[in-house]
Parts: sequence; C-alpha cells; structure tokens
Amino acid sequence: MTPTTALLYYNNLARQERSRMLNALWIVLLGMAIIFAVLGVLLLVMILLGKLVKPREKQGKKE
Amino acid sequence: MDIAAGEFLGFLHLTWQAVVMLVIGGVLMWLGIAKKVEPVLLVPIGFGCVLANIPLGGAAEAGGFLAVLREAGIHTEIFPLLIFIGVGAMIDFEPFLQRPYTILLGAAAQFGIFATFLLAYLLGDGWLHVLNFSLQDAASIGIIGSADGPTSIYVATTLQSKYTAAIVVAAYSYMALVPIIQPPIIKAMCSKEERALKMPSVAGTISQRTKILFPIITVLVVGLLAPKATPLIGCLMFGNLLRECGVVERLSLTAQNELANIVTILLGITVGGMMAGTEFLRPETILVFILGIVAFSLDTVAGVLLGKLMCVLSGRKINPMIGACGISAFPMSSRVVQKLGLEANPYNHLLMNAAGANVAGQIASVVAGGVMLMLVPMFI
Repeated sequence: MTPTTALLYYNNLARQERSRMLNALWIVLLGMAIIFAVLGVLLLVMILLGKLVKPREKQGKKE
Repeated sequence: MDIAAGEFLGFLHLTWQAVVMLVIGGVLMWLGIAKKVEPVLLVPIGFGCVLANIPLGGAAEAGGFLAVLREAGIHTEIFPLLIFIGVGAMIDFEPFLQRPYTILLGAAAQFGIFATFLLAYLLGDGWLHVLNFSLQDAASIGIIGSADGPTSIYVATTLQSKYTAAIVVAAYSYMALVPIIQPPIIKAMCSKEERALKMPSVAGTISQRTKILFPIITVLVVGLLAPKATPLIGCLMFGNLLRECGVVERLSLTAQNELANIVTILLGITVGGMMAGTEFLRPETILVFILGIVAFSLDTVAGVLLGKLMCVLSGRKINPMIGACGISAFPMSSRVVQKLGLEANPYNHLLMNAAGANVAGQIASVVAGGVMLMLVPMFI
C-alpha cells in the first residue's frame, strides 16, 4: 500500500465512522422529537376529551 | 464403564462457566426468596438459569423444553405482548387522566434510552470498536432505560440482539433497584425546599366514558403516528379496556390474574433458560449491566430537569421530583418520590401526582420502543 492509498484508505475509514455516528445522532434527535410529537398529540386529544366528556356527577348538578 | 459414566454423570462435564451460572441462578433465587426482591420474576429466572446450566440436561438445547418455550414465546414476541394485556388490566390510568400534562414528563424520561444507545454504539461498531455492539445491539441496550421488561424483550428480540438475555435480566433487576438508583440522583438535583413543595390536589373525578375512550383513542393516536408501537400499545390498552369497560369483569380478572401469572411463570423460566454460561459470560454482558444503570440514571435526570422547568412555568405548583417518575418502573418510582416528599415535609403527599407521571411513563416507554423499532432499520 503506497502512502497515498493508505491516506485515502484511512480517510475513507474515518469518513465512514463519522457517518455511522451521525446516523446514530439522527436516531437520537428524531427519536426524541417523534416521542414528544406523538405524546404531545395524545396530550392535546386528552385535554380535548376532558373538555368534551364531563363526569356524570357534575352534569347532574348542572341539570 | 468409564465412558458410560462420562455420558451420564453431569458433574463430569461441568465447566467453570456452568458453575458460575449455577451460582448466579442461586443468587437470583436467594434475592427473590430471602430478600423479597421482585420474587415473581427472580425466582423463575433463577430456576431457569440453573436448569439451563446443568450439563447434559438439555433443557435449553435444541428440542429441550426451555428452547421450545424460547422459540414459541420470545422469538415470536408473544410472551411480552400477553404480559402487556395483564399489565394494562392492572393499571388504573385515573391519576394520569387527572393530570394529562404528566405525559410530557414521561416523554422526557425516555432520554436515557437514546443517550445510552448513543454511548453503546460509540463503544461498539460506531467508533471505538472496544466491544461487539452493532446498531441493533446498541438500540436494544438503550431500551433497558424504558424500565419496562416486556418492552425490553420485545425490542431486543425484534432487533435480534445478541445480548437479549443480559438485557432482559438487567431490565428486570434494575426495576427492582429503582429505590436504590433514583433517590441519590433526585436529592442531588432537587433542593430540600423543592422536595418539600406541595402540589395542589386535583378536583373532580374522571368519567367512566373518558376511561373507556382513553385506551381506544391512545391506540389510534399512537398507532397512526408510530405504527411500530401498535402491538405493544395495542395489548396494553386492550387490557385496560377490559378493565374499564365494566361489562367483561371475568376477562379483566383473568387478564390481571391467571393470564399474567401463567405468562410470568413461562417468561421468567424461559429468560432464565437463555442464561447459558457460554453465551452469557462475556465482557459485553458486564457492559450491558453498566449501561443499564446509565440509562436509568439519565432517564431520571431528564425527567427531573423537565419537572424543574414545569415547576417554574407553573408558578411552583408542580414538584420537580415527579419528573423522576416518568420512567415506567411502576409503582416503585412513585413510592420513591412519595417517600422523599414526606422526608422533606411530613405533610407532603405526592403519591397520586407521582403515579400520574409513572403511568404516563408506561405509555411513553412503549412509544419509545416503537420509535426505536421504526428508526433503527432505516439507518442500518
């Protein structure tokens, strides 16, 4: 292996490792973003549900 | 005669790995029986471990009953899903429905999963190559931070991790160790004044209709946005629907008792059966256990940090400690926060608030598992 090909080889290896860690970082960022998004939507739906469906006791008092 | 004895006498075939695993199996049973540490799980796991490591026993080898159970229940992901039906039937989501904002604490407390995944991958194939951790292995190790045994089994087996047995044992062991892991972290992050902070009680009850609609809506929302989580959240919410709908009490009781108990026995002994010495005793196994503690700790830190933010934003109406309950170790985590609250202020009863965050964490951990299953194959 000539010095040039060795340099290219290790440069390529380093680039692959950077790319692998970048992919992992993307999984972390996307993962947390998706969890907050999904549970945020669920929170909104639950708040809406809480407003739409009142406990029967309270409904009785209003009537 | 010597050859025949060699073929029949198991102790002549004992290896050091088998001896170590027999001791570990014994310790697990001792912890369960003498120390009452998660006995429902540790006794079957310990016994399965002993069975799997008896030379010439063949219980865990191809065709053996533990191998058959592993194929039928773990590799098909049936056991964790059936357990989830029982768990769903046991959980009362009312504390969460009274405080729906706690779902955000559940979301924050999943950070440990992803941070640990990153750390495991960094040590493995990602960069340092110190250990033999592939992307799938790292994701499966990270999921220990879900503090949820069935989710850990489901994700590790779906991603076909080499360390499934170690991951499952770590997940269940650390759930039992929550009262030891969490208090020092919470005390380090929250001042006595913060720990003593009382939370206003929630007025009113949740209607029966809301309780019935909740599991159905949750399945639809989570399933449509994170489809890979559908089996887990589906079984959890199916169990909860049986409990709340009020017309199938027999099924609800069966799910809570007979189903959960039978599957726990089978799951425990099968997981123990996966602890064969030659596969289990590797340097990576020790790292899996260390990373499991890291995951639990970072979950707690992230939950408390969001708790602190919510405390400030709410005008000090939320005790930041309940953020630590965002991990789904139910109900150990709630009890830890209740105890710490009472230590700081004898009139500070945080149990229901903590339970709200705790059951929210159960939903969040299932979503985290589904998200991991969705994202990891995209980047392989």
